Amino acid sequence: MTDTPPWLRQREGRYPGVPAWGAATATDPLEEFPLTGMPGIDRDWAFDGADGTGVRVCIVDTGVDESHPRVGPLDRSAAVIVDADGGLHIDETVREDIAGHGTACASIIRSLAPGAAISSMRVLSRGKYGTGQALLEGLSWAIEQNFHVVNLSLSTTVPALEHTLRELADRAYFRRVLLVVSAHNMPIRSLPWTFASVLSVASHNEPDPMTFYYNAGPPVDFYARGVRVNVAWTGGTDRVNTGNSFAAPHMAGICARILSKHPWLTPFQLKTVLMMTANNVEASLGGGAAPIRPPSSIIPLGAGRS
Amino acid sequence: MTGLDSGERICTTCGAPADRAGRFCAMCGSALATNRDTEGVRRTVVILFADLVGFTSISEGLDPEVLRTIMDRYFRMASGVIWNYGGTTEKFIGDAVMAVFGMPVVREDDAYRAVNAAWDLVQELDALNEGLDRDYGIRMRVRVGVHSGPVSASYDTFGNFRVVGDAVNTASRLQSAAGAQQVIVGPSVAQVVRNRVDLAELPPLTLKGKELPVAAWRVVGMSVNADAVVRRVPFIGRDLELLQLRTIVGNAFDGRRGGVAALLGPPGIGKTRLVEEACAAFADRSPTVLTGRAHSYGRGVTYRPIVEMLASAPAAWSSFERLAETDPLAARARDCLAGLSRAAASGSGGAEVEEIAWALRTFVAATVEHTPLVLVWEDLHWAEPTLLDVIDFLGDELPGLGAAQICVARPELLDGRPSFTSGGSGALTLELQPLTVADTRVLVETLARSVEVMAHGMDDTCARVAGACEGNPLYAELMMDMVSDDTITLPHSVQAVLAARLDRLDAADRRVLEMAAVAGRDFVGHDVEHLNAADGRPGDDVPPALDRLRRARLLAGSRLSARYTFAQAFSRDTTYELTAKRDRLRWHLALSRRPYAVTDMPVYHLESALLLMRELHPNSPDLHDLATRAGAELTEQARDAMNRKDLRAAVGLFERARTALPADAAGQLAVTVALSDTWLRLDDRDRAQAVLAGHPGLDRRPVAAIAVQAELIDCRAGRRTAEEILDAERRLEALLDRDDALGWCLFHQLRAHRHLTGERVGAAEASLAEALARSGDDTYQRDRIRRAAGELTLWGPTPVADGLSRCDELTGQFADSRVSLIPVLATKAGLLALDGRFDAARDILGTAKVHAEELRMQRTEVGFLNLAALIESLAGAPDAAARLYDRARAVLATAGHTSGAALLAAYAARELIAAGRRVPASGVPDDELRDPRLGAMTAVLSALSAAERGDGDAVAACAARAATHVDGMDDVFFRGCVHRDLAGALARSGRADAARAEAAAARSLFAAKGARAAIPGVDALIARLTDDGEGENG
Repeated sequence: MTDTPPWLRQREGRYPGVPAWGAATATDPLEEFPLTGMPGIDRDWAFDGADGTGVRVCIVDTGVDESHPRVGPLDRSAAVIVDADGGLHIDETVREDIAGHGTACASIIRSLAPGAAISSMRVLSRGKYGTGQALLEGLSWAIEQNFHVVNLSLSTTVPALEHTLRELADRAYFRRVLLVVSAHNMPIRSLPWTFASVLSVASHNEPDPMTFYYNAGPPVDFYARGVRVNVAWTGGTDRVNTGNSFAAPHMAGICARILSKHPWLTPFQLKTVLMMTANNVEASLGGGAAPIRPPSSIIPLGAGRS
Repeated sequence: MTGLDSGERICTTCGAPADRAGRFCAMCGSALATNRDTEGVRRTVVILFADLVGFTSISEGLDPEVLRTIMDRYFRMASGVIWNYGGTTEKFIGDAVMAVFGMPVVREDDAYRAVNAAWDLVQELDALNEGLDRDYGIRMRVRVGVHSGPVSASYDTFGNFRVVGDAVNTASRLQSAAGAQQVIVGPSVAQVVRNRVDLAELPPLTLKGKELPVAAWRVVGMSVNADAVVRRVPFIGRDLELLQLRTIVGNAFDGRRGGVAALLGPPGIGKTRLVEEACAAFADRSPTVLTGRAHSYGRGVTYRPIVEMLASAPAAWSSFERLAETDPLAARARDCLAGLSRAAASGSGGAEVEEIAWALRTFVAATVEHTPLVLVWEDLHWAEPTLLDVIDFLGDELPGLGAAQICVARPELLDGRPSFTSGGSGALTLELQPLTVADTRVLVETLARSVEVMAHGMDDTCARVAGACEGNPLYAELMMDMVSDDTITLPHSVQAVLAARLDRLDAADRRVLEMAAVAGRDFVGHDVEHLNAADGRPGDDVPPALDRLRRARLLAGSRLSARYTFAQAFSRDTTYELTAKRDRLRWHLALSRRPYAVTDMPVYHLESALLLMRELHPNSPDLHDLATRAGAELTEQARDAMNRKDLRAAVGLFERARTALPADAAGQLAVTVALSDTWLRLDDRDRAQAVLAGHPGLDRRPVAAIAVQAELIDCRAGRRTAEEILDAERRLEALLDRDDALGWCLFHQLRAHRHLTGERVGAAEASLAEALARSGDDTYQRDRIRRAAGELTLWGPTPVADGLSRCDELTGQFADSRVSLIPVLATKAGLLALDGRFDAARDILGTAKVHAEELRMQRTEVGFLNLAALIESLAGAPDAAARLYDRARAVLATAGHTSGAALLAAYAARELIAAGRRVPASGVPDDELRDPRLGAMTAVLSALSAAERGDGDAVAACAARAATHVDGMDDVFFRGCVHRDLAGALARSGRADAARAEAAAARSLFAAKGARAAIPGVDALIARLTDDGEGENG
């Protein structure tokens, strides 16, 4: 045990184990940390009875197969196309998923927020891979269209993209387009999940889709279900898949539910609501457990709850 | 104009033309091969095809003598270029040149050298054209194609050789697709050279004689800085090795002893990278790193690494030259070293070795005055012995000078020179081992991220590459380049590395290794001895050869245990791939007759032999017999896999058996049926039916047994009503021949299904008996029928005593198949419970459960719970029985079997009532219950609850309804239970007469079944009714 809270500790270096940015919450409970409660902000308030109606979610990925029964009709579907001369343009008639990955994400969001309007923007053109320029192009489009939630189960390792991507992420944040981004599966520095303006998600290894945890040690914000998830795939099939790719859409689905009930939440409010309703935070607050060595500047738990 | 060069004898070491009568090569001094195996050799080579553009129109206007002069110049230039790059001109055809790289000696960079030669050919032609234009006013243009692939090559003692294979044709077709002065390479070549050659991808070419388009690239240029374009992968793992090497370098810089190290390891393991990392650690002291590399080819090989090394540090060299202006010793050293580079260029000798070593030492001593120095010698396994002498000498001297020396080589360096220590007693020898599993995983994932943007799903590509690359970073990198959805192909370049290694082996060792490869990745020495003996060679040759191969680190294992394994799976596969198919066939056949501890080995050999024979000798009279044997063995294995419940494996084996068996083989039909059954057990009804539809010969005439099986599949999937089955039976009966044993066997099973659908267990048992009678020696069907019939003894009219003796019989028959034994034991447990022997019943059910758990047979759970409940119910523990029924219900409900779950819920409710509890009435309307069991049970429960209310009329009505359900059934015990419960309900609602009649019926049914355990309860009820009746009467 150390006195330093998780957010002030040195980042872990490289360590083996997969997924590196995940947590084995089924066997190892997350560490407790000092915490300030917000009375009244709980799961009932946040999303009870909501199904995502009225919320527009965009999946920036490999495309989405809307003919899959677990996905259903898309609101909009577009793709970044590489021209013969290497230029890029957006084609709003493309309605296919070439790799299955985007369809998988869509099925998760649909299962949690059946009322949400789902759209697709294909930026990964070669199976699960794509170019940085296509990502910038597709993400810009999604932000321009003012989707409420954008799911990004991908990342780039090209350092040259950092500046533009960060600007895009900030732009999204101010336009109230919430970017829900999956962390890399390996302890590798990549973008944009490491930005403060996005909501970054890694996996826990429990089977409940509504279980999620707040992570006090950056850069990951939340852990959601991402291990052995049954997802839709191409050709009307299903498969069981693992990866932070599938944790992000769980959070995106939960966000859609919250936004359908509280449409005027800003991205920073939404993150707060998620933190307050995260399983570990709720348990800590609800159980009245004392925080570990609260610094004097933080009001002890329960002070505002009576 | 053919065969200009191919008649010459060639040195197998350097590829130079050699004198026909000489014993040594005039060029490199190696001993010339005298009597090599000259039969066809299978190997991967690189083919270069060059053809002049528009040659006919050029030759038209020229005098033949002039034409001859021109062509001589061209051919001289072309063969010169090819020879420079270690290629061999195979032939000239008209104006075309065909060259082979990899004959007579395979080298791992054959592809790179071939592309270099092709590129130079185009450039040199430009130079040649200058002269031709001046002298004759003509210019020639050429197109070149380069491709690699396996060929069969044969050559005689004079080095004549001929290569045959698809790669030759493809190279020629690529050449025709090239434009003037263009070089086009195929995919296998492009993959190997793309880090060192600038390539432009072309649209796939449709080539004459090729079905599929071939991917092709045009050579745009030779990259100047080859290393710069190699992908930078982070350095992973190797912490300890790095520390050791850094210590060595640090010691040297500080002038202490021990600044010398040898770094050994197989290709791609990360030797060079480790050296770079160790040197990089001293970046703050800006050391000068001099690198010299030994080459597998080229001129002036001996000292070329020294020349390269000096050229790699121009600043150090020029300051040494300045020193030489004033220092006579330095001047002498400079002259000696400068002479080396001239000698390297001219190919002739230079100074003596001691002199060179001294000069190099002088250079080093002068250089360390200005900068810390590291000498790195790479690929020393290719170094000439003389160079190693120089390096040894330096190793002794350097540490005192403050310079480090690192020798990098593959382990085989020590084979040629066990005493090589790279200098002095303080030298460290580090042998790099494969990366750990965790490090490999991180490496592969890191490689995977080298694409710009990637999704974060974790398919198993990385896991598969990490598993397959055997801890070798180079392999990992090459494989990540080649991963596609389902396959990891062995990269051509890795194959080339191994092929080159194999080629340097002594012929006898190579043969032993090939035999070993055919025997398998893990093999015993005796198998190879056996093969050697079968080929008429003495078996004593083998153990020393295996020892040598072990020392060469191609094999691991020990001579004592005589068990060996290929150090890398790649080496086994590559060796196998490069073994002539006729040898593989002969050896597989020989091995298929050997006894093995591992049962799948003979099958592997049989099957491999069969596939090879079909390819090599499609009309051989032995083929039919071999196919039958292989098919039979595979079928046997598939059955074993079925018994192990390894259904996936069984499917694979049945498929292979189908492929192996001759189309007309007797076993084909049985295999088809078994394969479709296996798919059904895997819950894939579509595949089960597809297998039947694909039965060989079905398109020519219908096969009755197939039609019956198709019907059975639908039955087993619960897709047929009794009426539909009956229709099918009528239709199929007409199709079946009297003698079609399998057809009838399946037919009677179908009929048994129909009877069971109608709850006529007795009739089903009779049908199964008929099916058994027609099962002949088909053990699969026989066991399956017996198992089913055995289970029915509990649920049908068969008396308990008969059932028990049947079970004992089956226990004996299935003694060695626990999968078959489990249902027999479970049935026996039920029968023992009916007989009142509860402890024995619990014991034997426990045994069956243990078996099932050990065999991971999860699907048996419901059956066990059901029987356990039955035992407790009979033993008078209704609470326990109810709990067990409820657990079984929960399992079925989760699995979606609603009707089964409803029945078990009814059983549980019945037990709870027996335990004196109140139970809410079932929500299922009785008249919708078509299933007789569920119908009867629901009626019984309604009766019991009506009795609770004292509604005698309702009880009577329920009793009547229950009777309609059970009357047609021949599960005698179940009927007894229904009548007993109705008797209880009637008695409670005051209908004593009716109750007595029901109780009597129950008693006679229990007696008929021999269910002694149930009789006392009925007797007690009868006695109570009689007492009450007397009481009433009195």
